[in-house]
Amino acid sequence: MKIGAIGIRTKMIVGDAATWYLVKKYVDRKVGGGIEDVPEELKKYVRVLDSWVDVTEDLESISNKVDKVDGKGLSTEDYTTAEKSKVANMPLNTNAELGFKVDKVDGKGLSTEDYTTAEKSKVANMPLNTNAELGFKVDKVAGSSLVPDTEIDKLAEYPEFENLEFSHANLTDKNSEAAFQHVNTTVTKETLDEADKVALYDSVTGKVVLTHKSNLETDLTTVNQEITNLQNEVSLLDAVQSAKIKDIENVLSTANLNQSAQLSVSGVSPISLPKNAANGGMSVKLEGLTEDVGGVITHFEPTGRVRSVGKNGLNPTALYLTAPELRSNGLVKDEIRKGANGYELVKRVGVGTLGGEIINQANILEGFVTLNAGILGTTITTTGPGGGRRKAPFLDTSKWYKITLNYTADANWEIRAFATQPLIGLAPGLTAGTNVNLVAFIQSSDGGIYFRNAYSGRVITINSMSIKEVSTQDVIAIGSTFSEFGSNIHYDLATPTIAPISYGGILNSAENGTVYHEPIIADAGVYDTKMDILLTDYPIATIEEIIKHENGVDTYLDVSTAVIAGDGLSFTHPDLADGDLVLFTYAFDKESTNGNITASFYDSNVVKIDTITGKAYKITDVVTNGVLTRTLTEV
Amino acid sequence: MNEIYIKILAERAEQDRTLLAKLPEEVRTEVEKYIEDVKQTDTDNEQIL
Repeated sequence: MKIGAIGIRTKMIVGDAATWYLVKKYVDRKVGGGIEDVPEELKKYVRVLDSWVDVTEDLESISNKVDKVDGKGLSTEDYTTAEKSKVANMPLNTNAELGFKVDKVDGKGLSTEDYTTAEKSKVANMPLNTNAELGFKVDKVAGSSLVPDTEIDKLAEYPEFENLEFSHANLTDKNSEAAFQHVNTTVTKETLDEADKVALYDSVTGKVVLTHKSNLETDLTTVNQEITNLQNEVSLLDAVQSAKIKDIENVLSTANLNQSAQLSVSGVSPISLPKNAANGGMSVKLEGLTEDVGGVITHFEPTGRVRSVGKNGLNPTALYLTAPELRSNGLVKDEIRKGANGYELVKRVGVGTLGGEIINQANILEGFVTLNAGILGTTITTTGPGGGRRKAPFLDTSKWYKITLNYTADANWEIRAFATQPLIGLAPGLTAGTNVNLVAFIQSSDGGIYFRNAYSGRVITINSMSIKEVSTQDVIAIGSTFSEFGSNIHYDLATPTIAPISYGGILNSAENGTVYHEPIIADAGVYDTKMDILLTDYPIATIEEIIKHENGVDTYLDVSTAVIAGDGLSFTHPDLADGDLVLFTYAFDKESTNGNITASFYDSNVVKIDTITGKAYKITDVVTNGVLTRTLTEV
Repeated sequence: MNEIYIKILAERAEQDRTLLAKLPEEVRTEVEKYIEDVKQTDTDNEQIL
């Protein structure tokens, strides 16, 4: 027992709780009973053992326990992994999901057709027993309708339809027997029953006749064909009439009611000559035209060639001109015409120079008495008795200015220079009105111009104002009409100037010919390593023709092998040598407007052209006492 | 030769008197005649004026 106790003690010292538990069991089995039966020397060990056993049992018991949760207890079923997987695959709220399902009913299934609200509404509007309701209806027949018995009874009153005869006159009176008493045409039931029959009313006889539809179709085809033929005839007639009208227009356009020897046609190049243009001498007149071409002030460049050709472009004749630009000012035009001594320049347009715009937008008018402020676009009012004035102080003393105004004013306004009021093209008094335009020349005598009104309370609004300086010389030359082109002012000269120009060549008119102006210059010279041009203001753009004149023979050279100098003032050619006489024509490139050309020619209906001299003669026949006298008069 | 070329050669000859000597004889004759005609016309016009 002592040895065992030592062993137990040793175990107690080094063992674990399980060992202690075994010792306790051993002691219990050996000793039996309670602590009272244990020898005294072992009691303390037994007590230790008991405390250890209690602790061990408590620990063992605790390890087999789970925390208590209110409302939960141990399950009698084992919750397996498979079941847990099933739970994971279930919806969050199975009952809710089931609420969205319908109970299965034997013999029923899902419908392949969607039963819509609209259909449901239709069903709601159906009778309770549709078949029964249909039983109360009659089948519909096209063209038939239900007729009240009273109307059917009336039918019995009508005569038999067989062998009816009726006229159109009473067809509208459907309820009248009279409709059937105007017998003209026999219409039987059988004939009406025949297919494709139509009834026609003959407006001449007043009868209704039956005919087969095919007859009408044939008639319609015939009518259509006749209409087409008629349209073709009308078109042809129109063409013929148009040609005749054109001929008449041509005749009228060249009508020479006074039987003048010469006629004229005018227009921009090219111009056409009439049929009665004689094959004889012709002269031309060129008129100036000034235009703003893309911001560049451009005039008519007359230098070049006026060419006249026959109706097939044959028998060309040409007139070469060298002259300054021809200008216009909206009213008058410079012109080149054939005078008594040949072609001459008639200058009608004077050219002045305008200074830049002189406008102080901030305050176009400043100054002194009895006027409120005056700036562009605002109203100036005379505030004091006796009126007032306002000056434009930014003008130099004694210089001339062109002033362009747009104003709205009441009566008695004046624009003037302070002292001498030297106005050109402008009366001192301004015309009263709204948006009045005014252009005038004015000399600023003391550094300003004035708007003045002698009455109080008068108003004027300067809507726009342009002031440009102009030379005294130009002001003196400027007449009543002028136009502004860029920095230039074009005015009509009080006295046109006439000066001869350089020209050469002969122009002939031709029946139905064409006259046109082109920038082609003729030139000639002696070759000296190169061929210089005469008119250096008109450099070569392209060469039209090169002729080597040798021993009285003209040899035309290939222009494609000519080399034009970079400045266009000369060219070389491999077939030319120093000392060769060269005749050539070339085109130049210079901006020009298309001025007017007037061609004057002889009327072949009035004059005859001498086939040798080219002179024109008018033939006059006079019969005296039965004797014909024919007289030739040169025209 | 076309009259226009005679006129042009006459204008050139007015600027360069050596040109006439470079021209073929028949052309020179025409140009000289043209120059004389122009001078005569100018003289006639002056007398009229």
